[in-house]
Amino acid sequence: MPAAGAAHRLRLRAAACGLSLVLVMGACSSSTQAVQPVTLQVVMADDWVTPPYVAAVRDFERAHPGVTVSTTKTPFGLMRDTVQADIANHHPPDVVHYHAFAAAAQGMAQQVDDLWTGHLQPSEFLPGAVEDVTWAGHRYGVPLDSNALLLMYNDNAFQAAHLPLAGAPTTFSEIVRISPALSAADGTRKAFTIPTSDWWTYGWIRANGGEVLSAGPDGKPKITLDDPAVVQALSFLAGLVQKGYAFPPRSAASSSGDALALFQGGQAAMYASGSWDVAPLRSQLAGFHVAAMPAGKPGLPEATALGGSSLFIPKGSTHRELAFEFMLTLTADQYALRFASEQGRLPVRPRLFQNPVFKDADLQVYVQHLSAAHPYTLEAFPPAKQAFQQALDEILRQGHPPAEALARAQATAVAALGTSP
Amino acid sequence: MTGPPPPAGGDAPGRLWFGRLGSSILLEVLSALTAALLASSLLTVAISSRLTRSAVRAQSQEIATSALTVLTQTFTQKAQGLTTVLRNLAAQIANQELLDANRRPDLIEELGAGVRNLQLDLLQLRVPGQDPITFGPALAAQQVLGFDPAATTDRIVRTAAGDFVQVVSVPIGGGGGSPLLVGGYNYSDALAYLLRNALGTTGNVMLVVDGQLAGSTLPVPPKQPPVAAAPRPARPPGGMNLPLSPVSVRIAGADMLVAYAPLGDIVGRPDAALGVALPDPVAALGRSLGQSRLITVGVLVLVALGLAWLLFRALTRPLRRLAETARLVTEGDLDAGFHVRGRDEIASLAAALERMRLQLLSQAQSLADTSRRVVSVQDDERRRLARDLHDGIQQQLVSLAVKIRRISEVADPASVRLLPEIAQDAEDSVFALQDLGRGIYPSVLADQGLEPALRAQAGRVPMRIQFTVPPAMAGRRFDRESEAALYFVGLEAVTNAQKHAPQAAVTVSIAVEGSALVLEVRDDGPGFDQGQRSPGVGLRNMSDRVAALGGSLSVETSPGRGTTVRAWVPLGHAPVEALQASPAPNP
Repeated sequence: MPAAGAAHRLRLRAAACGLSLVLVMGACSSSTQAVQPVTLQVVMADDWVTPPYVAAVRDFERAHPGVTVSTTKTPFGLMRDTVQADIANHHPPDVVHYHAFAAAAQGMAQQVDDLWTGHLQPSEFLPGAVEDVTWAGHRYGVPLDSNALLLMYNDNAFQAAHLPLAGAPTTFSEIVRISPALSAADGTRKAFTIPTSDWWTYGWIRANGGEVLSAGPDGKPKITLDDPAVVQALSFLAGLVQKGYAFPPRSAASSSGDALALFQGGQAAMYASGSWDVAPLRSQLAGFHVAAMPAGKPGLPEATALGGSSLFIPKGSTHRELAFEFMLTLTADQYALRFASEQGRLPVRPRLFQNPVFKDADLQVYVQHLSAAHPYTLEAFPPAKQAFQQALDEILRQGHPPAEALARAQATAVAALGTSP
Repeated sequence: MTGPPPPAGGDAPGRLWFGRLGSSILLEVLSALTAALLASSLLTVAISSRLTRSAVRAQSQEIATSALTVLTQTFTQKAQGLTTVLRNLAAQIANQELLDANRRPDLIEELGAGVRNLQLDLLQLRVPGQDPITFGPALAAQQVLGFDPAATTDRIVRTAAGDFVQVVSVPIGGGGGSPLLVGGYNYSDALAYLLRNALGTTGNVMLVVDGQLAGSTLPVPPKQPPVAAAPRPARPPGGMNLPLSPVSVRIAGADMLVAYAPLGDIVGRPDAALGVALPDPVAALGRSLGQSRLITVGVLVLVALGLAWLLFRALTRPLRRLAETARLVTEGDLDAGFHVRGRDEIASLAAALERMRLQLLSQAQSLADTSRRVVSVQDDERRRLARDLHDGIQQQLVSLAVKIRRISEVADPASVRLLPEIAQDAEDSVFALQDLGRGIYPSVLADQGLEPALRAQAGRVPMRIQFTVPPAMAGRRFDRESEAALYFVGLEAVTNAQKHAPQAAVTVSIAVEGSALVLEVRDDGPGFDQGQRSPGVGLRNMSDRVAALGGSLSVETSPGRGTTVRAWVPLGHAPVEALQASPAPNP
């Protein structure tokens, strides 16, 4: 009997343990299946919501069940104001497409040094791309693309004008020299077209050996809008406008007028832009070519503005890790190559330039001149940037003397920088 | 029994209870309870699941319909918005007279800004007699150029690449033959993703044209719009055969609730539709209900089993107590009482059992008293006989011997020679009578106790008999009945040893063990096989003697292993009153 009783006890205990195990497993499995839905708010530049982007979003959502990526398109130029308003309204998005260093300088971005660890190495990126996400020695985002401002010209227009020049102009003076032949007296065709863009103008300043912002001896930023090289570059552009060789910006607002359309429509023979304009121009503009930025004067080293962008996580975002994962997905090689081949957005990882995608002649020109490009750091100081934009409008659209307008801008920027971040 | 009884309550009740689990009704009760609980739980859960599923299905269908409404409104707003912004652009072109040949750069710049600011995929300006100005993919532009808003209400153009472009056209300046501004956007995944923002956190958007999925946010987009598994009805010419009410569809391994809304009124094409695919909560609910059902039933059963266990233990505790008492009674412990508590059936049973026990106790007591009385009467008779012999015949014989001695001193020599012999015979008769009296009830037993009596008897036996008695036992006396019983057991055992093992060494041990007085007679003789020999009359009489006092007797022997006779009687045995008054006979 005692043996039978022990066996009974064992059976009862085994049954109780088994039932408990089943319950625990059931509870565990039910808890693991309960995925809390998350919406990741992403604000992208309006011209970036394209098939490669959609593919990245789709793959990300597939890899993260329960996560929905809600994308909002915003013009890149309005990105800062849009996100600042969102943060102020306590509804910050989770990922923003902008310049992370500028966002950090303005107190909008979360530091992501910790998230970089184990995922990203600065050495895998172009130096300029790393600069685009670095502020005060810390990382604030993930580089998305790179670019450079280069000269675009319509070779058909050049040939029609019988220019005494083989290929593109290489100096400012050559541009001036060929401009009359490329411009019609009635103003319907001109040699050049100038957009409303401080970044674009910075490329010409760089080409002239100028700089608008540098580090002072004390390590603090030093505004140099009135630097002679800057004034000369603006004088060159203003001269093209005044002589009727270039279409000026139609208004101070970037939403009005489109310099690219003039070049694309054949009204302007030359333009300067990044590689994102290569695809539409090549398909619609016969004789389209890309060349290096002309130098301000012979002998100056090649230089231009570095384009590109990065992603950052705004302050207040509650999905920091998930947002970073999305940024990693969007900047993964497979999408970087698609962005390059389909949208002309150059990757930020030099190793990708070995891909056959970059055998394209026009893209190849951009790749070759990326090293001469420098980031537009004034982006980090909105008051100085606004002063500079104001000066550009005064010079290029209103005809103010460059030296005076830039001197005013310099004074305004310096005064504002004292209160800048 | 081979020794004193074990102390009462030596085994834990729990162990006893578990030990008897096999014969308990617990398993039956628990099994029945579990089965009943399982059945009722499953029934309850099944009914509640069905009701919940129905409610959730109705609600989810309502949500899907609402989502589709929201989506359609968003889509309509986008289409209307496109018309509005194109009208504004057309008005701007007209107001600024940008169609003037001299303003062509301004016109182009305005159109360029328009296509960028309005986020259009395609923009065309058609001026009669002039080459159109187009912004957007050249391949699509060629197909859109063939679009004639005056000739058709269809606002969707299929490009050579297989894409669909929704176009809106507005005249510039008004009137027939006036310039036309045509704007469009692609039906693409990107558009679907942007439309999806209107749905919130979940859901997928599908754009359907001509039976094809032109754009969607589905994780793995199929080529054709997903519909229910049932055979798809033939599509009416120019129409759509998509479900307008939400239906459950499995898409890429996920259960979705799918519904479509026709876009014919918006895009002028009856085979265009906007679809929404939401996660089907009913399918997910089914899975989670299955799990929760298992957990609920399991928890219920566990809780019920636990409660039943406790309840059963509480209810059966009196029964178990009765059973335990009955076991003790069965084993001879008639002092263990059946306690009666309450007035229920178990209390009635306990009361009946208690009455039985008391009756048994009374009968046993009576039987024991009778046995003791029988033994006492026997002993009394022995003592009386010994006393009679001592006081009667023995005295007479002594007197006769004395007289014969005197006669021999005065009688004739011839007669005198016979007198000593006669006296000697008389004295021998006295000694014989003394021996007889001693054998019937030895006076040393009455005077000095068990050990001296057995030692005195051992002195008369021609054997090697050794005594093992603890020093504390020296001079200790016990009640007369116990001493007499063990004395006669010892006497019988030694006599048997002398008879069957005359060469053996015999050891007699007397000890107090617990509440019992124990006598043991052990010899190293040849022993015997107990199975081959029935106990003799002497041994049976001794057994009855100790049994009458509540003790017992055992014999342990086997061939070649000697024999041990062990007897015990309980200490503190109340002597029979009749015996207390009986004086011990003098030798």
